[in-house]
Amino acid sequence: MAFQSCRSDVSAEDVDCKRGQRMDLVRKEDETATTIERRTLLKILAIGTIAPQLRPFAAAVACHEQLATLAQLGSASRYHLQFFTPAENELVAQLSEMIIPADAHSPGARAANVNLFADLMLATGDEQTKQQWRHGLSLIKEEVKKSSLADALAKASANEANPKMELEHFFVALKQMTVDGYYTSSIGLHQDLGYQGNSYLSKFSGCTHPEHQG
Amino acid sequence: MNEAFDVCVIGSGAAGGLIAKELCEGGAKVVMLEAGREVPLYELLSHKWPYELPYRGMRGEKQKPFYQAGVSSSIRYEDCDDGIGVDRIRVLGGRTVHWNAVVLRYAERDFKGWSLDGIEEDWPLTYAELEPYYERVEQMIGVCGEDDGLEILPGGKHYLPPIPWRCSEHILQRAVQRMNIPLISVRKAVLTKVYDNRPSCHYCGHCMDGCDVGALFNSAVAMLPKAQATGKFTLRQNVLAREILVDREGLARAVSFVDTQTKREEEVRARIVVVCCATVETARLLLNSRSPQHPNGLANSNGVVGRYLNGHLSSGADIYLQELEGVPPFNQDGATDHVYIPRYNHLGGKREYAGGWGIQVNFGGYMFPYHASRTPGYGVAYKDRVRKMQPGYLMLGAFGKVEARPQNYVGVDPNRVDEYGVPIPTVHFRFSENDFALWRDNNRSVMEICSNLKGQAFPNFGLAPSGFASHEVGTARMGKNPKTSVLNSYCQARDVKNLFVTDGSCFTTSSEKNPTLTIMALSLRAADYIKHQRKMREL
Repeated sequence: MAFQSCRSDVSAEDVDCKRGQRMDLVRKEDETATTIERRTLLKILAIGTIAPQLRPFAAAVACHEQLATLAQLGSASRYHLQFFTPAENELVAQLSEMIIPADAHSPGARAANVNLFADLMLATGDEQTKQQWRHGLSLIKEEVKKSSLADALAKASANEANPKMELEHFFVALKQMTVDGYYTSSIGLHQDLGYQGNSYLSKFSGCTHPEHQG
Repeated sequence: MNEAFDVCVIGSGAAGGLIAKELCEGGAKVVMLEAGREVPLYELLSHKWPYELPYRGMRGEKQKPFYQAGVSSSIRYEDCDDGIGVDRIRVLGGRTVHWNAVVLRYAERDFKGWSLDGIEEDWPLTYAELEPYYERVEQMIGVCGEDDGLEILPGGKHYLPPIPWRCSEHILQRAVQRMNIPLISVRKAVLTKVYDNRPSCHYCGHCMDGCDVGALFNSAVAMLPKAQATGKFTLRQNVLAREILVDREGLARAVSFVDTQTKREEEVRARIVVVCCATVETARLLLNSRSPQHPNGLANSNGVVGRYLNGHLSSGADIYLQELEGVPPFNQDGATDHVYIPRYNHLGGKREYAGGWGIQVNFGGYMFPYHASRTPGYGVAYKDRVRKMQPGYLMLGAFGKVEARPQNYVGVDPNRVDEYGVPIPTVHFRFSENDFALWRDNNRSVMEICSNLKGQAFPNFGLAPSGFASHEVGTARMGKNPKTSVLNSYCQARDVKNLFVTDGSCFTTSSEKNPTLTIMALSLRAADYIKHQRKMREL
């Protein structure tokens, strides 16, 4: 039931190829659930928040041979910025590192070159998303002038479940990009999550834990 | 092409591959026209790590070899609900190149929509008539699973060993058992031992990116070589059928096509034409095949071709089980689905809507933390939380029945053509009251299951239903009533006795079950009929 997004008005980012579903419509529901529905869902979920609204990344798929592959991003010095200015690039590196920092367990978003991933995705993405980022980053910079980067990010994330202002919407986009870039990197997938799959097994043993069965 | 063939099969997917093989083995000289190209197994991107790909495997990157940009955009959605999208694959093997291969027999009740529920129409055949064909197909392709003795999901006699269940699936069973909801081993066209000269599955979880060893049933790998082995099979790839040409009596006589590589216009003559282009493209081809004998399109004297478009609607949720939180990561990939929740909403008495849903489990993959952007916060504690939750991932993906109604249709727009000058398809579809009621109950039930599981659940349904989960059917339906059907129960067009349509477009109505096994059973039954008719010199 997988399918490729085939509607030019729907971004490929929004299509969950495995579910065959429009995830932008799923996210819209999260955003505009009525109060009654929200309460019911909250009861069922038993934990505070419904998923935050996410601005979909539009995907105008570019077929340039000059695209830097992500293997090349490993050696960051060989990647040339296509969207961010050097100052924006550094700001995104800092912001993403605050979202997913290095800790005792694994390196963070900066080491995983999330900022370069973001640059590539935005450069090959649609105009609306590009504008959102340009403006979002400048809003962050304004906030930084008033206080600090940490305070700016805290303010931007304050309404994560129900973003209203542009800064708050931008946080959601920034976090999504950080998540996408980090957990598809070697650092995120192997060092942090410790993913054990994508392998060739001669048999699948299944669950051998008596406590899960019966 | 100068030679005349006994049969021209258009389309190489689940339907086309099977019927071509059968007819070749029965002695017919068959030519197959496929608009796409072969993507050899060694070209598949399924095992690539995300960071080895330019877009990290996003934007449908791994599946891109099976789709062509020009095709995907040459369609118009007119007067459609928001969440409607159809699958526009174009590759040798069709969707079987990267499907999830869940194969489920329709139940007796699924052929009797009118008799049992008072909506839609009954099929022109019964489960009993199709049962031998289900059995033959399952043995032909290799299906793992079991016969669970369920009326709602009949089983066969020859299954390969079912796949062992994951921890999360045992935990799920405990929860649904309390709700009197059944959970069974899934039936998949995936080999759990060597079968049909193809290797066993190696449990990498990449079914839907393409199986690089042929353990997943793939028409190009499992059927076409058998057709080739008869010496009676001719395959043309990269050719787009433009229209089916008819003789003075209005019978099919040839197929006009364009070679997309050379741009040359060609024609191939055949005594019988079998259309297996999948629901949207089949309707398109028939509607574009106009002649004085068939002014509204081939086999369309009653205006039904293109109508009754339907498919599946979706619901579901992601759950992160508390019981598995913080467990050291372990390989859970498997063969995507290992278990299945068959329809159960008919067990609890009459509902105010007809139909139901089935729930597939764990086909989302384990390579990415889908909860990471849905879990609040950021920083070290957030990162830690994301990591600890990941081993507990359990995914429910429900597929619900959608009503077949004539006002939902695929048309063609003569004023908009693709790059080869072929009028593009247009899609017109709105969900019905029945669909909305079913979908709401589906969502409610999914959340009820979640509430019986200890963990954090993220619903995966939006404000309105979406369609069709790549399971489109219905646009050249078979039926008892000549006014509301195009085909008889042998997939034979009433208007054109040497024209057959055996892909999903031949479905009278849709069940909640995945359609492919039924497509293949109907194709096999049509093949037997064609063989018989050829022997009797009727065709």
